[in-house]
Amino acid sequence: MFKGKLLFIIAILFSGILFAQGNVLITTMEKELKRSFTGLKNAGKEPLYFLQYEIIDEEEINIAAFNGAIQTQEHNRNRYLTVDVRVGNYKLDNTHQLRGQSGFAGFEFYAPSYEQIPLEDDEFSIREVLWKKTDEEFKKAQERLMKVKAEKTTKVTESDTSPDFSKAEPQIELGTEAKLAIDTVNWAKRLKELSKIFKEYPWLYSSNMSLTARAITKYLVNTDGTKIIEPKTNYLVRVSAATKAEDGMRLSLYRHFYSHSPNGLPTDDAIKSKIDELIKGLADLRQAPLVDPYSGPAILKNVAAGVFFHEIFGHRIEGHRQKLEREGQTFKDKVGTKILPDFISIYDDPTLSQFGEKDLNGYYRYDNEGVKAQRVPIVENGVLKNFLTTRSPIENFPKSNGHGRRQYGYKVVARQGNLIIESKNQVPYDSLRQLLIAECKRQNKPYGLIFEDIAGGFTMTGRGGLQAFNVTPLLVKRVYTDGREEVVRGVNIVGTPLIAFSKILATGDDPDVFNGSCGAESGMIPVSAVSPSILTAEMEVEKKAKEQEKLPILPAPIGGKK
Amino acid sequence: MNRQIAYGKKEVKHKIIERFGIGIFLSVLLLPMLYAEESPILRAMQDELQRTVKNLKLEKEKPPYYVAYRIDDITDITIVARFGAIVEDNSEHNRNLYVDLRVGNYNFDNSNFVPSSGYEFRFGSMENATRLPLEDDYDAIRQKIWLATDAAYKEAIDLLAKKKSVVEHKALSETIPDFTQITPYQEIEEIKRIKIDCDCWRKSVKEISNLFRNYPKIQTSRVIFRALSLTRYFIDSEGNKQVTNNSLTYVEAYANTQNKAGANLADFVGFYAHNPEELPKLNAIIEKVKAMAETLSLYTEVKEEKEYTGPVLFLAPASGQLFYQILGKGVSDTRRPLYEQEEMEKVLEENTGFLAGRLNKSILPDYFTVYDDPTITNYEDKPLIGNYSFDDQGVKPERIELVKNGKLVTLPMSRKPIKEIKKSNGHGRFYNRMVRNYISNLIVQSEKTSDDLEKELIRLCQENGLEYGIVVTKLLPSLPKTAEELEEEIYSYFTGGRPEAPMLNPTFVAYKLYPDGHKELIKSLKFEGITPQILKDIVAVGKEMNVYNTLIRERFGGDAYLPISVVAPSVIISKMTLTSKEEKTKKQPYLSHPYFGK
Repeated sequence: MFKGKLLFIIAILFSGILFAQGNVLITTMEKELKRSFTGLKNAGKEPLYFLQYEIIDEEEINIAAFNGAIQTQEHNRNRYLTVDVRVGNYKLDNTHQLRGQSGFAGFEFYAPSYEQIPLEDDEFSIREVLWKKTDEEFKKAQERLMKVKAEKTTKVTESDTSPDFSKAEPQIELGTEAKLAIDTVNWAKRLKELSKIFKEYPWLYSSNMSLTARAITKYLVNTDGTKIIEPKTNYLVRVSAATKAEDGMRLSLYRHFYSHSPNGLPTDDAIKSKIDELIKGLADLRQAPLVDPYSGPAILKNVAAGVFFHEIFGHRIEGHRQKLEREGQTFKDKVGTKILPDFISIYDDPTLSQFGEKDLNGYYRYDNEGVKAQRVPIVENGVLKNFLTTRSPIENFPKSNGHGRRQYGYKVVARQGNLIIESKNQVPYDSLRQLLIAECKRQNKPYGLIFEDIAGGFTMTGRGGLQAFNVTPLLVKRVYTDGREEVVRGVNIVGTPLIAFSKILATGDDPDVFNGSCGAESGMIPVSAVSPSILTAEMEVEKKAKEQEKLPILPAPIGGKK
Repeated sequence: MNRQIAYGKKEVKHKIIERFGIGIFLSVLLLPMLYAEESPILRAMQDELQRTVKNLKLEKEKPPYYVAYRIDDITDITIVARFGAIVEDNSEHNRNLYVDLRVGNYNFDNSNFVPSSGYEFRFGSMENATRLPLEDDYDAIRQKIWLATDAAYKEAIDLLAKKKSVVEHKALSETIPDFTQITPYQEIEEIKRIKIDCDCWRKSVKEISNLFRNYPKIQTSRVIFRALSLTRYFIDSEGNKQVTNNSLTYVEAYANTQNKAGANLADFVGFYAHNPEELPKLNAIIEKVKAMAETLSLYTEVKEEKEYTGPVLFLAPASGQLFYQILGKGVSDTRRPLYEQEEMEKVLEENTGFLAGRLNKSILPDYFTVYDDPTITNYEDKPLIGNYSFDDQGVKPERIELVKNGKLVTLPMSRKPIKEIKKSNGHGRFYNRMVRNYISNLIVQSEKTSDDLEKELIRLCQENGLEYGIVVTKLLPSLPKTAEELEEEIYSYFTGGRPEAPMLNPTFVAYKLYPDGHKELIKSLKFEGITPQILKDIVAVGKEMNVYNTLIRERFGGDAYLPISVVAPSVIISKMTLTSKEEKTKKQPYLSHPYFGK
């Protein structure tokens, strides 16, 4: 058994050597790009004016354990091609929004459009895929621009008349391929052992202890002359557990450890302490009373505040949302006006690879349009300054600031990288808690809320738009004015969550990092948010709709410590 | 082997890459080399089953009357090449638990029912699979079985209540039982895995794929090697207890291009066996792939064809396709579930079971005998892939005589009865989201045969004053759908534009045969007015029996499929009408293929 595993790890260590010499791949991409661009430029009804090939080479190791047994052990490598074609001209091209669609019949089916590229650097095998995909995308682009033009003649003018595409500086940077370096045998053993802890708690119905290691190399060439090889590695240890309360309500908590290198991963003791924290949290939640409808002061703990900012604020300052007619355009006309307390500043900076000691998952050097990542001041002293932009201009923001992002196969939209919240009104957390109590007294509330843990998420509501970004409080406490704390469950944030931001009273001095994956219309992408704990004067919550499920009828088959 | 083998694969989009084939080596080592009888998996299943049967009951509700656990442990290797280079190289090991839990009684239970909410878009499977640990850890596996059982029981109660109200609402009077009794069977096999030399297959797949560098008229191609090994653990509350192995290995070569008018031309050739040793030699595969590529290349030039009415000769594999599509589908899937919403039935169900009403009536000329036999693994030296040692409900399969002297005498049956037959003959196969009554290895035999069917065809043509006869060697294959095609199809269901699927696929490779013996390829034509009656119009039968192995792909099933085999002779059908079919066209690629255009 040991021998087999040893071979497995050797296989992983040497796997990079057999395949892939990155420069062959990028040269091949360049060749076919050139041939396609020359050949297709004037081949269709509408001229081809921009062409881009992006190949994501992704190697992934995934190991998961459940109650002391390995549940998943996978090692994948794939290469995915996305082709971006623009026909027409910078002012009007095939990517222009189509408005005249409503209901199911008008729903623009959107499945990601990618092709798998050979793992071996065989020039013509790779070029065959590039050629075929380019031809398909070129034809689709021609058809779509026809629709766009037809709609232009029949519909009223859009409110935002900015062009569809903007020029960008060509970028050349050829990094070296990303490589995985991790002792999978040892990690499998560690995960198995750590996952055994959960076995002692039969009331935890499910749990998962996993490691995901990824080496991603992005190869990008386009007709601006941009040529990029950008490597990235990330390592994620995730622990999660779930149970149910007596009334059937599902309860779950998780903890993440993120790092750019295996050295940055936590020790067993660090993981154990988080597991204990998680088990205690779930034990408390199981006993906790249901929340009562409430509106009043609340604290969002640092990481929870990061998630909250990312979902509720961050998504609303993504550029395309100010332009698309179906969007809420919350902040469209607010540039230059005060939207947050003047002690709050926010910027998004994908170029940061770390915050303090912690690695940031939202780090990248070039976005998926070949634009260099930039630090973008979004809010300065409470005043809205900027949106996150791509190469599709929006009113008053004609240039990309390097936030055009997507998962392979999807169309680029503006997305967050590392969202950083800064405060000039910082107090130690204990004082923040005192301020919460004081504010409760001032507002004549018997208690305030502390959001310890929040999960973010994207759900397709069928209507698209901003309602789609939700936060789910996982662990919330009531703090009474006498200082007593009590966990409550079933908390659902309602009302207009944005208000919580405009009514921030003070923040902690404890900025911390949320690393995660964000799903939206351009797919799943890695993001980070950094925020101190925040105290807001107003947060509105209600009881979650009751779940119908009952507790398991039979007790857990395997005993364990109570 | 059945479709579950493919099921695990669907869930995991990102696949394992195992460049050294160590994955399999590793998983073999992880499996304790014990007799399965002592396996912690089986013990966990038994212990939890026992507890479930004894204690699982909600207040005010009845306990389950039947519980079955099935665990499929699958290793799955896929190697794909395009134009001579590896594009996918994956190895997976999955273990899935399926729970069949029934409340009510044999006459009326929670099965055979599709409610209108909660299930519509579960295209892959109606059964929820639970992923199990890959290690034989009694405690961890039992914990998973416990919760899956609990969920299945609650769902079953919910479904039964819904089903009752739908039956009342629709005032359905006819009551066919939902489930039949069987004789339980115990059989414990030693765990077996097929051995795959991945390095060798990587080389072979590349070599086959590289052939396409000789066919400038073909736009894209893809060669797939796949090897699946299944160990199945099955136990139920009626005393069934089985541990069995099955495996499947195949090579498929796909090619795509367009004809002059821009219509899509896609073809494939497949080689199927239980293990790699049974596959044809590499040279033989290469010859067949070349032949396919050559014919497809010729097809880019074939001209429009007018109507034809007259005798048609079906050669292999078209003869196998014909018998599957008319006879195989006609006798299969004879019990549809009750749909709360009839619209959904139209979307999700296929045109099958149409011969059930012909039971005890003649459906073929009286010199025909047809049987279906899941217990055989070969026909002469050719592998048959429809075999299994127990069906997907743990029933020992029987060889059944479907057609005797031209008369349909029985049907493939699972434990899901129909009005006429209330006994399983071990033909319960998981397909299209649930266990269906389905064929496995269909053997079509004729007492009367002719020496030379081509001569016979010419004779028939001359009798009818026809200039030539039509010979079909391949019907249009039902290829796996691309994401785009699937999208269009789903869209068409909701907009009411769903085209009726033909009972018999259009021709793909066919030619005119002239009395002087010369042959002329013809474009794809569709058959008009096909009914099962055409089986009775068979007027001549060839001597040779041909094996047609295929994977029946599901309409919405991703890459899930059901392996079946048809062994049948070539036949002439006295009179058929073929007409040209409407074809969607797309512009040819603007630029030439980078390799051929260089």
